Amino acid sequence: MIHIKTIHIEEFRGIRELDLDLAGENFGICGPNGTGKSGVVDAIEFCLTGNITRLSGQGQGELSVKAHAPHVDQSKNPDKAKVTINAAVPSLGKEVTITRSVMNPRAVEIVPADAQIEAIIGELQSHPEFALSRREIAKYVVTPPAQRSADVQNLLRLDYIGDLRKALVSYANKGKRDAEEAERARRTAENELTTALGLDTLDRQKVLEKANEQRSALGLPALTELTPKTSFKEGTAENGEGHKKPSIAKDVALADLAALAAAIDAGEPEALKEHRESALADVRMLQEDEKALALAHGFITTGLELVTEDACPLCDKPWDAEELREHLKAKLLTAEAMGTLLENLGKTIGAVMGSLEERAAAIRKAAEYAAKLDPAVPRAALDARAKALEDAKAALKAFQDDHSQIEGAIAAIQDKWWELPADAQARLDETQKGVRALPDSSAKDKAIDFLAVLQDRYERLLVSTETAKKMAARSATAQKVHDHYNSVSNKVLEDIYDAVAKEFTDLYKAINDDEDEFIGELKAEPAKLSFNVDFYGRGTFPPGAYHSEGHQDGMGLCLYLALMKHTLGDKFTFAVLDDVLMSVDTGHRRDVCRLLKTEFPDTQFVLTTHDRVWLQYMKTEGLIKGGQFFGGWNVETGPRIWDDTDIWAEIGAALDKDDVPHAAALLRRYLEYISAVLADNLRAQVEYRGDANYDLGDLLPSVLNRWRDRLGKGIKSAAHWGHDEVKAGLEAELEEAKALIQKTNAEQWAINKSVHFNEWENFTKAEFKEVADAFKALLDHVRCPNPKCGGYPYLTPRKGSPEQLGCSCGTININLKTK
Amino acid sequence: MTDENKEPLPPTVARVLDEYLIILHADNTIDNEVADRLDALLRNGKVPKPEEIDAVLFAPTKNQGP
Repeated sequence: MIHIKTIHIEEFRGIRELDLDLAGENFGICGPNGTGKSGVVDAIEFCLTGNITRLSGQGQGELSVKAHAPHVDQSKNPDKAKVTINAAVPSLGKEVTITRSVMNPRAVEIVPADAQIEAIIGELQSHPEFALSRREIAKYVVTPPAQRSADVQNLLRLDYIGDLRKALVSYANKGKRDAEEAERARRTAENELTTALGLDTLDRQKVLEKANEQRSALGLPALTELTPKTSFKEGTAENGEGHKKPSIAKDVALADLAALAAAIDAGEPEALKEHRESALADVRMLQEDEKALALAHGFITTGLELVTEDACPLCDKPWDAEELREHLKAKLLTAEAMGTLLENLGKTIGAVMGSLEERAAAIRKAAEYAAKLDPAVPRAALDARAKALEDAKAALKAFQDDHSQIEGAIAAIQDKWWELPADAQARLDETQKGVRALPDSSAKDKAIDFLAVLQDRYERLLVSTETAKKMAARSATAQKVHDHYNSVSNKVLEDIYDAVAKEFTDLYKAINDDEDEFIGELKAEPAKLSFNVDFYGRGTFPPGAYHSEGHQDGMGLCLYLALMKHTLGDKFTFAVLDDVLMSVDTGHRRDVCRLLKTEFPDTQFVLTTHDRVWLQYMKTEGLIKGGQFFGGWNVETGPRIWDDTDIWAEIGAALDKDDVPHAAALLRRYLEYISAVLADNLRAQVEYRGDANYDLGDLLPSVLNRWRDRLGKGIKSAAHWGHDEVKAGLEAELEEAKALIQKTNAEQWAINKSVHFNEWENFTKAEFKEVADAFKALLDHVRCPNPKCGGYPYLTPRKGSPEQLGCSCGTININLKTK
Repeated sequence: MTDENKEPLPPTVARVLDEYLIILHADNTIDNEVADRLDALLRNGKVPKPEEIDAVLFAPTKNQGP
């Protein structure tokens, strides 16, 4: 991934022209709503991916990047709307310039054209989640489990795992269907052989006996064993003595026709009836669910999520909540129920297809006998019936391959195809009559004809048996390959969800130090991902159940960070957080800053907020160094911006213009802000006010008193543990603190009005400069000297007896314990 | 697209396929050569069609001859 150094935006969204210098560091963008902050987020997303989620996401049907990404005055000139990002690629130690125009969002210009850099930009393009808005954060926390499953799997790039699973399932199912079809063909071949032999079941010994009876009539030696190479007709006249092959083997034909007639007369077999009825019920249930899927599946699922009281969430009609849930659930097939239903359907439809195939083959055979008679019996009615049965079987097969082909399947299952239409029945009767009327051939010819038919049907059984075995073996392999994949991928996913849940828990605890027992659970179930979190030791519940909006925002951020960390690992070097924490309260904001800074030191965050104080917190905690204020916007010029320059530089600039009142106002506002931060950090003892309206005079003296007191406490602790060097260092620091505090005159405010901050605006330039320098020196003395940190120290723990005074990087680390 | 330009498999997918190959190799009823061919197909980054799976699972192995 990358670290952004500069961004140049032209005629894009609400921006006419804008340059931002991020210097590859975390960066804050602050401004009221409607000042163009999100335009910057859109520009980053567009430049890196060619897309803008805000315009192309769910429910944005009328919007498009090409039509609506250019500034409104350039909507007809998409070529003028473009974004250029200059970035560092830390993993390669290279720099890149990326340019994209709305004219052709899919084309990106990457300079230099380097395959490794292009691969990294390609990866960014496939991970648009680097930009997270508050609206999107909700999807990780409060969306229905089925949608969360899709979102999380998408973020973790698990879609390919699911796609492979589907491909292997589909292949295994196809293998199973092919094996079943081959087995049905084998059974048909076996039935035809046993019918010809006049046997109820296939028995090797009896086959030999029947064959040898006929061979004996021809004076041929008996066969002693049945092997695949056995030739029943070996030595018969057919093989060379001018035997005229009859068109119909009368006995076999009569047996075939009698078997068909008997099957028709017997009506629908009980087993087939059961399979057919079961298949019909299942297909209809599937059809109902298909309708639900097409029309209202999402609506019903959402409805289920919304049932929280004893009333319909849509029309307020009174309902018992549990009863309503059951009512809605009954409208949907769960994934598990769907799996069972499809498995059952596979069996019952397979049985119906087998029966159809056997009946069609028997009718085709009758049609062939009809055609061979002299005079021939018209075969068209029989062929038409056989064709209708073959079509019905094809419709069932099409349904097995594609479950949306329901109508054809229902027709095939409903048809009373075991009955023969009157015209076909008449042709069958005529054919039987015609075959019966055929002259009986000599015993010798009869034997030759019988052995020829036996040979043909035996060879077909051999071939179909071989095919069925082969297909069964293939099906077993396909199933095994799928089963292995299923068990492996399930285990890996469970491990991932466990790891992400643990990471989430750790991150969330880091920003909520009053929830030591907190745990988060991600549990994968068929087609959904449940997310439950602890609520103060009272059990685990969905995040939306009891937690406040602010806590939910925090959870969304932590889950997102955990997922990104897991997905990208070391490559998680860049993220845009667009107003994601607006509901998080002040105390937790500081913890969030520390979390981002300490847990993700190599990730560049671009954070937007409409809250100036929030931006100050980011700066105070050392999360961001630079920022940009957006203050006002109009359609002609775009956002009005000014740099978030250093406060001391701003004061210096005011003094350079001899504007002491402005410099005094700046210093006062800044000290009010920083005093509030330090009062909180050091747990200063301030006179309580119900309206929390503390001014500088209320806060700063208490803060300074507390600072000296804490240094004194540190000295005592060092003495107690015998750390002489630390003690000496802290004593020197305390002396320095006293001197610097004295220079600020802050402690004189109550007793000497001439030095009170209210009087600063009346000071001379030199007098005020002395004051400003004194406060700068004092604050520099308090904050961490490490330039990479620069944060103000804070007490830990935040409640109870303070044990340590330190900063985020650990450079300031003062032990306060004496026990 | 050349192999060098092909998007690498996400780490999670690679992990599933790594462990899958181990399981396939451990199954005595599946030839190692077949397992390797299936592994290569799945790492292609494109969802395989049934006929492609069929080809790798049931192509003659070196031991089987033509």
